[in-house]
Amino acid sequence: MGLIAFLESSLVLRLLLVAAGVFIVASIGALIEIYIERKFWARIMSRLGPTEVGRYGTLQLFADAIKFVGKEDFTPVAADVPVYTLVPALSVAFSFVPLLVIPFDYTVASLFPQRFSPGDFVFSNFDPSLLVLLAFFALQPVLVLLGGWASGSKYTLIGGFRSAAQMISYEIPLVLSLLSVVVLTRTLNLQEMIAVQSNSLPFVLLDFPAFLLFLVAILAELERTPFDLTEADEELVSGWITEYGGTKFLLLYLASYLKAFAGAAILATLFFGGWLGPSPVPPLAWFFLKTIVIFTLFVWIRASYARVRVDQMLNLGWKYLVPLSVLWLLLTPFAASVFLGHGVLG
Amino acid sequence: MDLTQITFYAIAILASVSALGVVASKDIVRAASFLIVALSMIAALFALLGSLFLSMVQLMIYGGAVIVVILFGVMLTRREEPKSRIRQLTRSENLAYLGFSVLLVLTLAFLEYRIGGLYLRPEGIPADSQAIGIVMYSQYRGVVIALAGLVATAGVGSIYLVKRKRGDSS
Amino acid sequence: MISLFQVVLFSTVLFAIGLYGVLTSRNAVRMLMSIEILLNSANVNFAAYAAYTGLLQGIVAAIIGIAVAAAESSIGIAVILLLDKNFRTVDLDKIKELKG
Repeated sequence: MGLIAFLESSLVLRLLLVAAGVFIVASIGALIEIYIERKFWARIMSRLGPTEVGRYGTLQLFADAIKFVGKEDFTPVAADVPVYTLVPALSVAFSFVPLLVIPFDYTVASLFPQRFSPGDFVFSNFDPSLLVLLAFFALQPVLVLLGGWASGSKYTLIGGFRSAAQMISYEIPLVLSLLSVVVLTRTLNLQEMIAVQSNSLPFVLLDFPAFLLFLVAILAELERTPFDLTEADEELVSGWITEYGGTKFLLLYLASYLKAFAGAAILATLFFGGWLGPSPVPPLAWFFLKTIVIFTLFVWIRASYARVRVDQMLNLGWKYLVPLSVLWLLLTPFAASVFLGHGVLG
Repeated sequence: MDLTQITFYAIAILASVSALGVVASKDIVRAASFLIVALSMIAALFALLGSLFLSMVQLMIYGGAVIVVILFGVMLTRREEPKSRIRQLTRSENLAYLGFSVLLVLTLAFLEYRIGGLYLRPEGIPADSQAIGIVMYSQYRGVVIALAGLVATAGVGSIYLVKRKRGDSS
Repeated sequence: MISLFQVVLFSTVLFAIGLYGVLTSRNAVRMLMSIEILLNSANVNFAAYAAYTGLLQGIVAAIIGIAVAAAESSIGIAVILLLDKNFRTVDLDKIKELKG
């Protein structure tokens, strides 16, 4: 057919197609997440959650989106307009890039028979794919600071400082706990990490302290409860996103759920084996199932724990998590040699 | 003019314009935003040259740490009322510096022109992280250990410098 | 294909812009940002030669350069914050005397 021949002629075009596919999968993931967030949280609080729009409230998000888009697109008088307008767009963009490198499904590689071998997920089987993930999580504090400053209000500025301080503090345990997984797999290639797990127990069992450390750190990076102190309504209204309304707010909201999807997906890939699972169920479905279950765990944590104060948050990060993650990183080679039969280098 | 050339020109022009924005922009926070763009363009250049590892390290460290520190510094210090930067840049001494910089570029370009026929390897650098690690920890082991000491000292030192001492009124 | 000369010329231009920024900055933070541009130009040069010769030592040198720049920028900002506290300004034209 003409279309297939056209696609086969251009590698760039096919890569764009895969990127579009990732966009769609991630958006569906975000939609499911938002629905679960509202319904599951509501049930834990003995409420019903959305029930009117769509059957069992499934279309509620679309109604909200239409509401947000229909609002006036304002810009505060004291705002720095170019930066203020760019921050939501960049936030969404920076939240998508990590999703490109997470291995979703290996049947996609059959679209590219010359370039990628079967069993590849197109964008993830290259060497420092884990670093791409970490780099884009490391770029978040910049957006938060610029967003808080560009809104032109001293309260959003303070909210931006707090959020940025939180994100920076928890980046260290985030990276160190992932490094302990890297010690076990001896590669930075996300796809090979899944391959290692296909021959042994999933790393949630082998590397359980790293799992816990990463779970706490990613909740802080995502600004979810118990670490959502920047949204404490009585103190700072909504923190650095206070002055963003309408479509810009919708973009920031979407970005936070995409980041949550990426965070849950990293947990699923690195600790639970990603797309691995018994065969009648396709790999994409296993991946989705694991990610959504982990996100449900995030919502459960949100519904169950109280919010920490900013000094408690900093204390926990620097005085407990950083030393613990360093200690566990030092102990991981022993776990590696016992369970996987190799040291750090051999 | 193939795709890599076009990409290189785009990156180089954007990065140079952003660097000029850092220097010439009136508002200091805008200058910091231009710096972010410039550093990201350089990270893109590293990726184009073949080393994704270096590109991501650049993004993580510069974009994730250095820029955040600089933005904190910008937002916590007093700013002078923004007078026109163009006015300032056309003062006689600054024009002399501009002339000096242009002269420097021209001189170095003339000297570098001799390497004109050399091309970068199209396949890029065989830069997977394991190979980089082997070089770093065998050949440059001493440097890496010294670097660790330096970064630790700098971190502790900067915390100590800004710590509020007892009896401090401000 | 990209010629080595083009990348080295680019790093020279960045160096000149950074140098110009250091010389003409009145705000101390802008000077620090120009210093970061200087360091980045050196890293671009390292990466260019690494791409030309295929040797990894260039990449390692660039990584070391990035780490040193990060350490230096944190000390630099600490000093600038102290300047702001003691002189109540970060305008380098006004900070002319060592106190005490």
